[in-house]
Amino acid sequence: MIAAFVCALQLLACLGYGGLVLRFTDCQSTLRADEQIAWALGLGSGIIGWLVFFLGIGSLFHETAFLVLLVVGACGCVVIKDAVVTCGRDVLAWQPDRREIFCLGVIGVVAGLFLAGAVVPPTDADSLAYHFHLPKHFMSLGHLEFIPRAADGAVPMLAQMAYLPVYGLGGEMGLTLWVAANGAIAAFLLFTLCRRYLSTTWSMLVTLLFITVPAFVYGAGSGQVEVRISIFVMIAAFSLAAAIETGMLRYAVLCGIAVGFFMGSKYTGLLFALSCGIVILMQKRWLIHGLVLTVVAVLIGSQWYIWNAIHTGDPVFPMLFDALRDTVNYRHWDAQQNRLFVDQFLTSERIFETTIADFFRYPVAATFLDLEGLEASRTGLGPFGFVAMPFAVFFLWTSRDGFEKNALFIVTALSLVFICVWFFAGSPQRVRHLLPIYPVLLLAISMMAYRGASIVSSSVILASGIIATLLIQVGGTMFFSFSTIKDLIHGTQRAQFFSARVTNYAPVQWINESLKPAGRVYIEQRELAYLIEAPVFVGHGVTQNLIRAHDRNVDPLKLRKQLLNQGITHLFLPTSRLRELPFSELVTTGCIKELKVFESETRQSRTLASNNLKTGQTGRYSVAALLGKTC
Amino acid sequence: MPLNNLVRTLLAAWIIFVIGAYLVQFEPIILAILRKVGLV
Repeated sequence: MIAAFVCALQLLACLGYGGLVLRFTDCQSTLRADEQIAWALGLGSGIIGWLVFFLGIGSLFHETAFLVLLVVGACGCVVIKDAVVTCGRDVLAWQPDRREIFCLGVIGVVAGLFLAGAVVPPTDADSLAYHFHLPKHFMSLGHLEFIPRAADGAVPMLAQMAYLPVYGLGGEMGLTLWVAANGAIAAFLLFTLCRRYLSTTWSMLVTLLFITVPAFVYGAGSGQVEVRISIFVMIAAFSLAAAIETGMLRYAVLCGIAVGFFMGSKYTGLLFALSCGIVILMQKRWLIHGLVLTVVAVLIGSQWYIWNAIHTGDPVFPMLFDALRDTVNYRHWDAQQNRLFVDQFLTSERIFETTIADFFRYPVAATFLDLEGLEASRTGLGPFGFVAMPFAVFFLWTSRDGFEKNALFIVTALSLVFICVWFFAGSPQRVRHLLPIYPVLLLAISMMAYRGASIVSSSVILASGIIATLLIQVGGTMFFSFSTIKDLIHGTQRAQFFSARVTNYAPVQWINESLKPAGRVYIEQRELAYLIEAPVFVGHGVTQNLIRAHDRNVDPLKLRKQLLNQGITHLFLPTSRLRELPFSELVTTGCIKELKVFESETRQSRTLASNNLKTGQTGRYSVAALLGKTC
Repeated sequence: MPLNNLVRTLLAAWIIFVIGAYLVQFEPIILAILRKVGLV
C-alpha cells in the first residue's frame, strides 16, 4: 500500500516538475491537454533523475530528502491543473464506439499483465546485477559511489537515479511499480502523439503494437532503461520537428533538455545528440538552434560524464583509454585490461560488420533470424515494420511532394540518421538497444501505411496485418506473464519465487543467514548482487581490473592482496574455481577456507520457470572465507 | 480494377509471408506449447 502511494506521489512529482519545465520553456500552451500531461510526466521523470544525482553528491540519500523532493515536485502540479481538468472532462465525455471499446479492452488486459509483473519481485538478470542493485547499494551507503567497472558500473545512470526515491520510500515494490508506471507513461505519450495524425482507434492500435513488442514486454517491467529513454526520444524528436517547423527557440530548448536526459541515461545518448545536431543543421536557423540545443543538452546531460572524469580522467570510462592513456592516470584500468575489454566484450556485441551491405542485412536479421547476440526473438521489435513497409512505400511514392514539410518527415529523418550513426559507430547491436527510437519510427510508418493503404483501397488488408501482428505479440506477452500469474494465484513465497528463476538462490539464503553483514562477498554471478544482503564485489574478468581473479597466471599473493584491499571477507564461486590457480594456491596455504558446498541447478528461463526445476543442469558452488591475518 | 486486385493480392501475400517468416524463429516454443496442449 505504501509502495503504491509512493509511486503515485512520484508520478505527481513528475507531473509537477515536468509542468514547470513546459511552463518555463513557454511550450505548454502549444500542446493539447492530454499532450501536456504526457510530456510533463516524461520530462518530470528526467528531472527527478537529474536532481537525485545532486542529492547523492551531497550524501542526502535518505527518506526525508526524497520526501521533500517529491512533495516539492507535486506542488508544481498547480501549473498543469487546467490540463488535468480538461483531460478529465474529455475522458468523461468520451463515448467510445465498438472498435474503441475492443482496443481499450485489449489494452486493459495487457496493462493487467504488466501490473501482475510489477507486484512480484524482480528477476531480470541485468536489473538484479546493476539497474536495481546499484540504487539499493547507494541507498545503503547514503550517497553516490563511483563503481570502477566498465559497461555496468561507470555508466550514466540518470534513469536509475529516479528509482532511488521510490525504493527509499516504498521499498522493492515501490521500485517495480515505478518501472511499470514508466512503461505506462511511454505508452500514453505515444498515444497522444499518434492522435495528432491518426484516429483514436488507430492511435490505440499503434500504442498496442508498441507495448506488446518483445523488447517492451521484456524491458518495461524490469530495470532496463530503454523504455524510459524512449520517453525522452519522443519528446526530443517532436520538439526538434516543432523547432524546425516554427523556427521558435523554445522548442530547441525543450529538445536540448530531452536530449540531455538521454545522454545522462546511456552512452548511446551521445549518438542521439549527434543525430539531433545533424538534423537541426538542415534548416534556415541552423546556427542559433544548433547552439541552443547543444548548450542545453550539455548542461543537462553532462553530470555523469563529469562524475566519470573526476574519478578516472575519462568521461566515458574506459572508452577513451587509447587516446588518453598518456595524459590521464588510469588507476582502475591498464593496457592489458583494455585489450581484453575490446577483444572480448565490445567485439562480442558486434555481430555485423559496419559495412553498407551489413547495414541493409541488419533489419532483416533483427526481425526474422534468431541470431545469438541480437536477441531478436526474445527481445526484438516484432514484424510490424515489414508488414507496413509496402503500404508506406505506396504513400511515399504517391505523396512525396509536400511530405518534407510534415513533422513526421523530420522525426523519420532523425530516426534514420540515429540508426545510421548507431550502426556505423560500432555500437553493441542487440535489437533492444533500438527500442528508444522505435515508437517514433512506429508512429511515422503507421501514419504512412495508413495513408498508403487508403490510396490502394487496402485498409482491410493492412488492418489484417496489424491484427495478425497483435495476435502474435499479445500472445507472446501472455506467455511471458503466464508463470508470474500462476505464482500470484498460488501465493508463491518470495524464496520459492526466486528459487525457480535465479540460479544459486539457495546459497544466497545461506549467505544471508550465516554471514555477518560487516563483511563483503566476492561473487562472479552478477545477478546475485541485489539478492545478497551483505555488501558485494562483482568480479568480472573483462569489465573490471581491481581483482584479477580470472587471470590464471596472476600471483596468488597479489590476488590475496587485491581481495583484502577491496575488503573481501568471503567468496562465492564455482567449486572448480577453488581447485584451480590462482585460488587453489590460497586454499592450500590456508588463506581461503571452504565453508560450505552447494549442489546448484541452473535456471535457464524466467518465462518457463516451472520447466527450470525439471531440466536444470547441475554444478557445485562453494562459499569460502578469506582469512585476513592467519595464513 | 484488375490492377487494384493484383496489388491487393500481392499485399495480402506479403503479409502472410512476413508473419510466417517471423514465426519460424519461434518454432521450438510453438512446438513446446502445442505438445503441452496435446496437439502434436
